[in-house]
Amino acid sequence: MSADNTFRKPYVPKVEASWWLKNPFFTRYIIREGTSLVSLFVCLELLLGVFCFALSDAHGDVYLAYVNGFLGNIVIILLNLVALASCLFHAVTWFALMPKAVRLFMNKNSTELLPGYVPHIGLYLALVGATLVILVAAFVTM
Amino acid sequence: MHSNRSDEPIYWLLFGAGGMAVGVVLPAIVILMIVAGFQDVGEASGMLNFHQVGAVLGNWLLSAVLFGVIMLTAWHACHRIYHTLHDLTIRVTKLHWFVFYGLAAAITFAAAALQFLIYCQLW
Amino acid sequence: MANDKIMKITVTRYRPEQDAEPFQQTFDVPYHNETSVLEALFYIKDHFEPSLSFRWSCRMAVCGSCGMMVNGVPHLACKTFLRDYEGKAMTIAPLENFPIERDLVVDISDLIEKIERIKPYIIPAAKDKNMPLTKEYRQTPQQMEAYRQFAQCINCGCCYAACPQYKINKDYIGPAALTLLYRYDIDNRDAGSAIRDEFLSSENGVWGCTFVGYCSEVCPKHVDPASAIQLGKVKSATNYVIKMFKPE
Repeated sequence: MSADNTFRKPYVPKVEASWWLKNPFFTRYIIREGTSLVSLFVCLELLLGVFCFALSDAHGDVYLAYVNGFLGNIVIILLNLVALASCLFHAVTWFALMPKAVRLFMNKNSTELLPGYVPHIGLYLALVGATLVILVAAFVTM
Repeated sequence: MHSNRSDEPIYWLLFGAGGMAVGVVLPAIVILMIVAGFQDVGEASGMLNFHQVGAVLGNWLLSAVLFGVIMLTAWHACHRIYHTLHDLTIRVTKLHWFVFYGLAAAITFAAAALQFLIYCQLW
Repeated sequence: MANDKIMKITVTRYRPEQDAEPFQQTFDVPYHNETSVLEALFYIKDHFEPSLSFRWSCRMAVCGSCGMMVNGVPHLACKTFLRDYEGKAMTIAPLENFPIERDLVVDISDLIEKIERIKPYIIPAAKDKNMPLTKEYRQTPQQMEAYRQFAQCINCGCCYAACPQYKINKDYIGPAALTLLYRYDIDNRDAGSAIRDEFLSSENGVWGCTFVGYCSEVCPKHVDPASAIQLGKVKSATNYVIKMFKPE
């Protein structure tokens, strides 16, 4: 076949780095992925606390400087509030997608699938349960 | 055409477990840190005081749970950041891979070493 | 059509023999309650611009020919109605992430090649190799229900237009083909999982997906490709862990 007789000239648009700003769904997706930066911050915060604890003397001098000086810093408090919102946004998006990774039938012979809201609600119950247990335990032993 | 088998499953499983940790457990921990930030915390008074946290780090089960949360959050976050670089059309290289997965491994190692150290001293 | 309402429709045009790049053309199209986007395009072709090119065939969401971007979202033109955009302007563009051939016509041969690549047909087990063609395979209602939803794909390409991973990396096998792969993998009459695993478990297989989830959002047949791909990840990861402890 000769290539000379074709008028084909397929147009391939360039992929722009800002593609995720063009559709709210994609913007939400990138924000969802962006929560990982905040999670990393919380992770390092916890690690710093453990590190300060390890350095402390019998009265916890370094650790208490971490709690009162670092966690008590207004900038860190604000960042932690952002972190809380970020973790909850992550939880909402994560729980919403999780049912798609579950495909179970109601029983051995049924053609009815386990409804998606079962794992969805289950995850919210786990979040509420874990939060209550940790908060109650922390306030009781405070 | 890449048809070689990917090693992604191992990172994906850590990522998935980490996503659960961040979604289910981390909010409560962040709340505790915010509460502690508003208080004047002493050796045995206030939220996350020295004795309270000492009791957590001195209990093997609670310390292991805390280690799990720190480690899984690190793998979750690093894995996601690495993939998001690609989403932002940055050409990811082997170097990016080593930086992010290396960071996750370093956090895992540091948390394990420190928590083990604290546990042994308190024991 | 005297009492019809009018909608401003902006259509992307591209004539390869004379244009360097696509441009926009706007038309006032009268419509009534039942006018689909496809019919609006017929109207434009009949009344304003006979050279406007677009693909279509069945007009009933079965053939998968008329996928296009309506206000930036992948849709089947025959299944999308102007009444749902009342009071708004409408822009119609060719399906994203595919090379534009002419006007609203895109080249989906990459999608077709990927669907062929993953062997979308039943590969019988060795014991069934010589089974006579007159003998049927048994399948329970549950075994059929397991894959039925994933078999509804009409290859319209909407999920590829919705997929950022395919946008960035054209080697990614993509939603429709991976869904079909999973559909045959879980079919109890099929024994081709091991053959398809090189596609399923590759970097450009399920591991190229970051679960954006937009494919399932736009799928006109509610196939839910994102679900099939996540289930494929679970399958691939399970195989991986088993192989870790059981070398050949």
